[in-house]
Amino acid sequence: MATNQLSFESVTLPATSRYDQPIREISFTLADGEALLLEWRDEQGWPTLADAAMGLLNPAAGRVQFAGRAWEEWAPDDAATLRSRIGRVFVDHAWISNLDVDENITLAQRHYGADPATIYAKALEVAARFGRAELPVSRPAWISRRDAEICQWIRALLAEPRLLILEEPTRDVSDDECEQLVAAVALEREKGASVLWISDDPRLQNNPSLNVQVRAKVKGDQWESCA
Amino acid sequence: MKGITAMGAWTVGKVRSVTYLTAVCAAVLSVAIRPRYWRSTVRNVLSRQILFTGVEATRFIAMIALLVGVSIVVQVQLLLTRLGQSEMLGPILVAVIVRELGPLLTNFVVIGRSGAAITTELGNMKVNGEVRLLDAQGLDPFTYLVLPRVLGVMLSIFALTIIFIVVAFLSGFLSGLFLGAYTGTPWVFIDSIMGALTPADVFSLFAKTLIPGMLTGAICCVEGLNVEGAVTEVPQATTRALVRSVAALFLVSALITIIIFI
Repeated sequence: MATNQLSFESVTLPATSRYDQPIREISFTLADGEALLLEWRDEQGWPTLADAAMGLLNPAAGRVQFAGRAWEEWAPDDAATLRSRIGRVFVDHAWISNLDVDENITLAQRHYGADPATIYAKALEVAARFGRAELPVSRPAWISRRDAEICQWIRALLAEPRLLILEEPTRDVSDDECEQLVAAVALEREKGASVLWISDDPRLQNNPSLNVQVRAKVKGDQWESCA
Repeated sequence: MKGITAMGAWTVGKVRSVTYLTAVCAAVLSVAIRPRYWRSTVRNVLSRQILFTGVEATRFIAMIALLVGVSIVVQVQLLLTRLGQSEMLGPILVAVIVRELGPLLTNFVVIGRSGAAITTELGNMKVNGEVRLLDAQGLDPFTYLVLPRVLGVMLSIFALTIIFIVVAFLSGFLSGLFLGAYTGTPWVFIDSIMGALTPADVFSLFAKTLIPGMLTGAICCVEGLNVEGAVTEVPQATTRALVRSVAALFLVSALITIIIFI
């Protein structure tokens, strides 16, 4: 099986109009099944790091490697296919507004050839892990923030992810639901997925079940490895 | 000196935007012929686009065609009867309706109705981060957003133009009969039109619907996706898209007429 390793090698990400938080000299490596917990209070910076991890943002310096190669070395179609196997909970702009939430959840998998009925049934299975019997069939604007957050988890886990990028994934949920997510992520890690938690939620920071290999903090544009 | 510099900058800008637009159209055609890009999600967007641009516009196009038939076809019938040139009915109607009015008016309606909607939708998607979201899920925005919209507009304009022509002739014939402007049988009317149609007319019909359709789709998508940062840019992008689409329509129509018929 191909490696799911994610590595940042002295990566510097510049500030732009879209990514207004620069980051300097980040280095870390996540092997298969490993997790990184990043404490970062300035949420403006989260998409910068997450987009760089997905190969959507080229670093000004350094290299981001995933699955054995730097992102720029993957052919565009192969890079897109790889991205479809990265589950992500977005801190902002998480939905295509002219599709229903259930269509949004299954979109990437349907695009990559999954049978709609099969993938829908699988999404219901994932939803059941979070106590949901069905997927919302309304537009994203019409569901609560809490439901939207849990639906993002379902979408991220539906990808049979090789990498999970979770940007503040527990902002609007209860303690029980937070634990359900931690358990679901642990299950994916057992299957080999690497996990990038970006959160300043104390329920995650102090959770021993998270079992992270790397802890880090970002202050300003400086990266501090804590463990 | 400043004037020359400004003119040079304007020319370079125009050449760049035309080159870019040509590249987008070429990319659409080259991707469209590869089955692996026609995933179920892309086919779904195409069918929604055809439903919105083609099917939902049918009634409006038919209504305009009906009025064009009543006003123009009847006038031509009356004029030719007075001049004793009834045998010219077919050639004149083909030249006016099939070659020019049908494609031109249909393109106009689609630009105003769907072109504006496409630019607004894509502009808002860009501002709201939805284009980046597609990319992040492994969906190529070009394949998912641009390809089906451009092809949907092309196919819809072609189909709507056929509907326009048929309805205009039908309403023109019936109103001519009702008003006493035309006294022949339906078969004579149909025969005069079919007899006047040449292969060049058929080619012109394809060219004047598919090429402006592709340009309209591409211009509206490009303008929408070029929106950066603020929602306030969306109306400006929409206005720009409509103006450019109309300019491209007239330019292409005139060029095709010159190439084929002059």
